[in-house]
Amino acid sequence: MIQLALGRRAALVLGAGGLAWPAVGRAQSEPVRIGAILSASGGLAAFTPPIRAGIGLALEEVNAAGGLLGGRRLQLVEADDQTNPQVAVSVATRLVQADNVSAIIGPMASGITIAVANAVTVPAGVPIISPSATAPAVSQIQDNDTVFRTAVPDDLQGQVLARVVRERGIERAAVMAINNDYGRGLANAFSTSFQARGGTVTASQNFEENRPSYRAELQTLAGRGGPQALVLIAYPASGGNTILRNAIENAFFTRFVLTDGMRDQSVVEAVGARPLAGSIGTAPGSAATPEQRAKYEAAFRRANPNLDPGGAFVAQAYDAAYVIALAIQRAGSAERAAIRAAIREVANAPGEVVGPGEFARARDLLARGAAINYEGASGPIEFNQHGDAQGRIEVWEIQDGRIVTIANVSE
Amino acid sequence: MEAAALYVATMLTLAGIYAALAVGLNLQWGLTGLMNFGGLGFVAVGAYTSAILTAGESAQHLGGFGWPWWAAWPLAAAAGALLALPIGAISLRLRADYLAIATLGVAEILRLAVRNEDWLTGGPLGVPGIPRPFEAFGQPWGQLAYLALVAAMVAALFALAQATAHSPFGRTLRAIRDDEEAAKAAGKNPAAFRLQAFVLGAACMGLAGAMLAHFFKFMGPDALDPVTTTFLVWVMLIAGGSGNNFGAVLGAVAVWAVWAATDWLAAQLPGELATRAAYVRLFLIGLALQLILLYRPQGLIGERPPRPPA
Repeated sequence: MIQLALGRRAALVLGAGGLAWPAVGRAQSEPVRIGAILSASGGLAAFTPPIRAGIGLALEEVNAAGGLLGGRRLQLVEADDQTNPQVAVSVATRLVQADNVSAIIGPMASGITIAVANAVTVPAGVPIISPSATAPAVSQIQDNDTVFRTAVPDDLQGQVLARVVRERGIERAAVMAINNDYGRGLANAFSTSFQARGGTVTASQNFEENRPSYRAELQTLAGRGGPQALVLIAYPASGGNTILRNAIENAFFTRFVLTDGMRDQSVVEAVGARPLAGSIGTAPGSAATPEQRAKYEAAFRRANPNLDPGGAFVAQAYDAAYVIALAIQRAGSAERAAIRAAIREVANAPGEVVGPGEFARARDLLARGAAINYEGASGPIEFNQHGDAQGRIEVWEIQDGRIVTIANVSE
Repeated sequence: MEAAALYVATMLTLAGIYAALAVGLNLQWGLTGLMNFGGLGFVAVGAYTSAILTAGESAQHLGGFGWPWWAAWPLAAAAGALLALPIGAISLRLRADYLAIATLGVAEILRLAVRNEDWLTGGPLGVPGIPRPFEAFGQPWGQLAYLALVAAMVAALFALAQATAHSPFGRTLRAIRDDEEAAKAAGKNPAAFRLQAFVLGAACMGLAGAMLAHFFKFMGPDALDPVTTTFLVWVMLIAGGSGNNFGAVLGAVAVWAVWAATDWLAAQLPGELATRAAYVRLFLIGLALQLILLYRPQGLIGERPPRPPA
């Protein structure tokens, strides 16, 4: 009986394995496959829906304009990394080896990007463009020039944040940062720059994710050196919202300075508009000329009426997809190495400027042998020798329960 | 076709690493009845030991020793065993539930320690640039060679575990698990035997951690997730059949195959649904565990009673 049951179960398992095979054969057929590694669950899950929509919009525009490489369509193959590098490495392996994608958009977190690049995509030579990996360490991957990002590194954001905080008349600030590469890197960049501008960091704490309460940490921070504001570097779902609630309920802090990680409408909805009124923050911004930006926003709203085109890293994700599409067209093939080599050619100056939604025009220009320079929804998208986009930083404020962009600055 | 073969090789490598973990846990739980919920801690110690010994020089973390993997892996196993020694010595004298709590606590402490001891582990940035054995062979042979290495390690661990299970030592462990008083009456010292089994199992987990770190070529605190490093192994062992080494290996491969297949199936769904599928997968693993415990507590292949002497 035991033997029989085993036989049936083993057959089931084998059957499930067999299901995976047809996909391998299909990989050779018409559409060009682009992978996306997004954090659909886990700590970054709150950011993912609009980012996915941004990528989807870019691909739809390309397909609606008649596709690339003589009518081939782009097809998105998505994977969920659960905000965990180990899971990310195994799903990236699937994308690269089983789904045979030409290029990958993502992953979202910096640490995960480093892990995936080192273990999977660099050895396989697959170009990846992360829309949101902002840690400075991503620049230092030995990547054979295969790792790019449309997000602006955190060094710049930290400097801008420090300046904005000083301009608001805040001299003493407490810093609370999520204990990971993102939180620590940005907190460092901010503190250094804030002190250079004559500010004082009264106390600094790295917090662990997903705790039921942060009152003890907040009490320590509030009680030391009389801080005028709390600089909070966090993600909403894994602690950020709880910290804001704890701080407001116990009146530890009344002014908040936030960063890209907390730039999400859900934060205002979860914590309340009134206590957050006047809170300021920064995020990798949109440096695009207003017309380019408006075109993108209009198209995004038409396709996704319920999502925010200005959400964190959404425009960057859209641009990442666009750059890949243009690079494939420029390379004239869906070969990984050819795409990698073409990415800078289509994104960087010199060349005829093309913007969001202008894929058909870009294709015509390329067909005539002209050089193109993509100016995206999030910025001019010029990749430097590390593959980092040179962009701008957005300064935002919460006004009447909405996140409002105040300025876009480049230094 | 080559890419598909490589994908299968990757999945088999990961299944092999899980099999090593399951064999280690089987030694502790299946054979001896020790409830170890701290697999993550032993994996972490093994992984970081091997990572630090082999990774290149870096300002981020301790390193630059440049050891070859074959010298570092035994030390990784030893590190796992060394961690188990004090924990076991203290908590094995207590009832089984206390060991579960102690191991859970130690795993959590270690997770926080590697996240915060920047000088040693690189903190949240982790240890990148861990060399993978046989990488010089290039694709695809390097990857297949690594799979062969993992398979050889699992085979060796399996052979050792089988030998242990059939030895007088293994019979004593089972006797202690099933009836401690009777074993005592026969003159055995349960605490000493339990400690030995606990330490041996932890060494397996340390080695598995090293294999994991070298496969990913990166080790960071985010990679130490209790769901995928501790509890998935429990599901594998229980599904395969605790107390039976064949069951441990079969459970690891079968559950990993289902895990990988559901990832692939979820990817075929359109956007919104794919997001939900991610949570459904976790839910299904829990549900599967409940169903197995309710309807087939012995697992796919349960423990066989030892043959009576002829």
